Amino acid sequence: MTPAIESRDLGRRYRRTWALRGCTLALPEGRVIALVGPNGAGKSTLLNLAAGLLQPSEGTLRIFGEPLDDRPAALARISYMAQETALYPTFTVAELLTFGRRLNPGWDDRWARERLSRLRLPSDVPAGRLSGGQRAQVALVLALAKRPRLLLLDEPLASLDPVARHDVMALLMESVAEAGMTVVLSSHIISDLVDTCDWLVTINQGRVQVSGDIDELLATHRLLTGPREALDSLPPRLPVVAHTVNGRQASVLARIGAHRLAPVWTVNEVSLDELVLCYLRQPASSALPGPTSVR
Amino acid sequence: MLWLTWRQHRWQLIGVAVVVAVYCGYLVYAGLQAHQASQVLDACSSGSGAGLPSPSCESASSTVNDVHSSMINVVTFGNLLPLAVGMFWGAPLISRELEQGTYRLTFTQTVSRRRWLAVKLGILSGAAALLGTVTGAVVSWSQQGANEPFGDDRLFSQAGAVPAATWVFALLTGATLGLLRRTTAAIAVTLVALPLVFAGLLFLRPHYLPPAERLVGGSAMIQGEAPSNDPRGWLFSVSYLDRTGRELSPSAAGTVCADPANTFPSPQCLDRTGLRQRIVYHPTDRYPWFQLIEMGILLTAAGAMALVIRWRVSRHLV
Repeated sequence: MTPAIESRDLGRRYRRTWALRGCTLALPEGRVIALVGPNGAGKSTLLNLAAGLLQPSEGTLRIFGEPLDDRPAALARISYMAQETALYPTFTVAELLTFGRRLNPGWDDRWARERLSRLRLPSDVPAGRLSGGQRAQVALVLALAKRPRLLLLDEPLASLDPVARHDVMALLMESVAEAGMTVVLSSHIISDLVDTCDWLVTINQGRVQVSGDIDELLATHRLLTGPREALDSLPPRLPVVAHTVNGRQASVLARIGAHRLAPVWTVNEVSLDELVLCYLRQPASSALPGPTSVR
Repeated sequence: MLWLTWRQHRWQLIGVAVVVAVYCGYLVYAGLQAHQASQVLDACSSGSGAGLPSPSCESASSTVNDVHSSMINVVTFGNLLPLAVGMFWGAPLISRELEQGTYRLTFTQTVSRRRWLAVKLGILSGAAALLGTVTGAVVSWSQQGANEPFGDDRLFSQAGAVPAATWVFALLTGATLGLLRRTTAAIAVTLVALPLVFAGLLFLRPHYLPPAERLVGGSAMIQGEAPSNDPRGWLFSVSYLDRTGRELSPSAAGTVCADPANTFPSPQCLDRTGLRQRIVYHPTDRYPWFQLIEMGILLTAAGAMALVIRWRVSRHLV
């Protein structure tokens, strides 16, 4: 199957600093993909590149197997919702719907109206006077009513309170279930993503660390605890993501695979939070392109 | 896209249209007043109105003068109208999208950036050309019999078809400066840049074509101090050549004539001394060519700026 997003050595530079570099990825279609990383890691850059809002400084990027360009056919496949939900502040909600309808041949006006009335959003209020949560909902309805194959959401929840966060997520998940589109959702708050996403991409210091099915990642990673001296007895090719030594105790996160371990090690399952945290704390570790051996 | 252009620019479009309407309204009103008064004057001078009391002729004459002088003052300020187009239509066109981040909304709809830009610039340029044409027509009409645009710095850029090109140029200058990303900065720089360009055109304008030269005797000479425009055309310099071909300034020639009644040579003096008057000027029939050249310069520059904007918007905006 053609990946929804496929990049090879993709990089983007702002003057001298690289916001993203050497990004090689293949994200499958039909998934809800979590893009996780600390602030300034390159998440926004990757999403902006995928939306065609930025031009790559190097490398290639294909969306559904085709290079990105400024043609309506390419633009129609993608919806993008920005970090600060950039809506024209003087446009009323009704005018924003007109905007969407006039600029998109595939626009689903009935769905958009029905959705907005169910969200009880006032249609005659300028977007600049809506609350942050309402703005995010309007922006999401605009992005969804375009009927995209790929929906890119750049920190859609960043500035929202917990209630608004829940509402926006509910709207998103309901619509994704209806339409079966591919969603890429970036956040630095992992708990936002745990229940909703089924694919994880972590990005750190401009580089991709992990890209994989969340269930599979959880199934292959294990948290090992054992005596400090036992570190030396770990299989030499065991892909260790991170290890910490606390007094006489050592704990190791590793992709355990078929490796057999000495019985001194206690093997525990790992939660998504722990997994992500371990990777983000070790910018040098990566599960891409293949397992890397530490030590 | 038409809807979006109107929705985003309607108040600026309406605002400038209102200012143009007030400007043209005043010129039409004042032009009609001057026209009526000069009909009275014609009647006075042709003698058919011999029965008219002379005070009414005098008041008509002063009305004509007053109206003409206040009109030309207003027309001088009319040269600033294209600034409004550059500042309020052109400058925010791109800078506001970048500043508010709304380019991310607009450029991810199913409309290519080139089309977005083409529609916006197309509609706004059309509106600018239309308003420019209207002011050009009204100014030309109102100045009939008062001032000749050819050779008049205040009037040339406002009369006939030239304003249409000036307004389009102003729009694109503003839009190009909008690539500075900050709306207020773009507006401020437009406000400074456009007058500089217009001043530059004032200096350039006399050199669009090499001036013509004529040597005349006493019968066809320009008497007294030469005005800058004259029925012959746009005058640059008047000097005198003596029999040996040496060039004399008007005052030097006046000394040669040694005529106590005139500082400048008189026709009788030219006939007597054999001096010839040398007139350097652009003949009146060149006026349309000058208009075309100025419009060509402005529209070529506008087209070049449109290409720069298109290049930046389609690939290198952010």
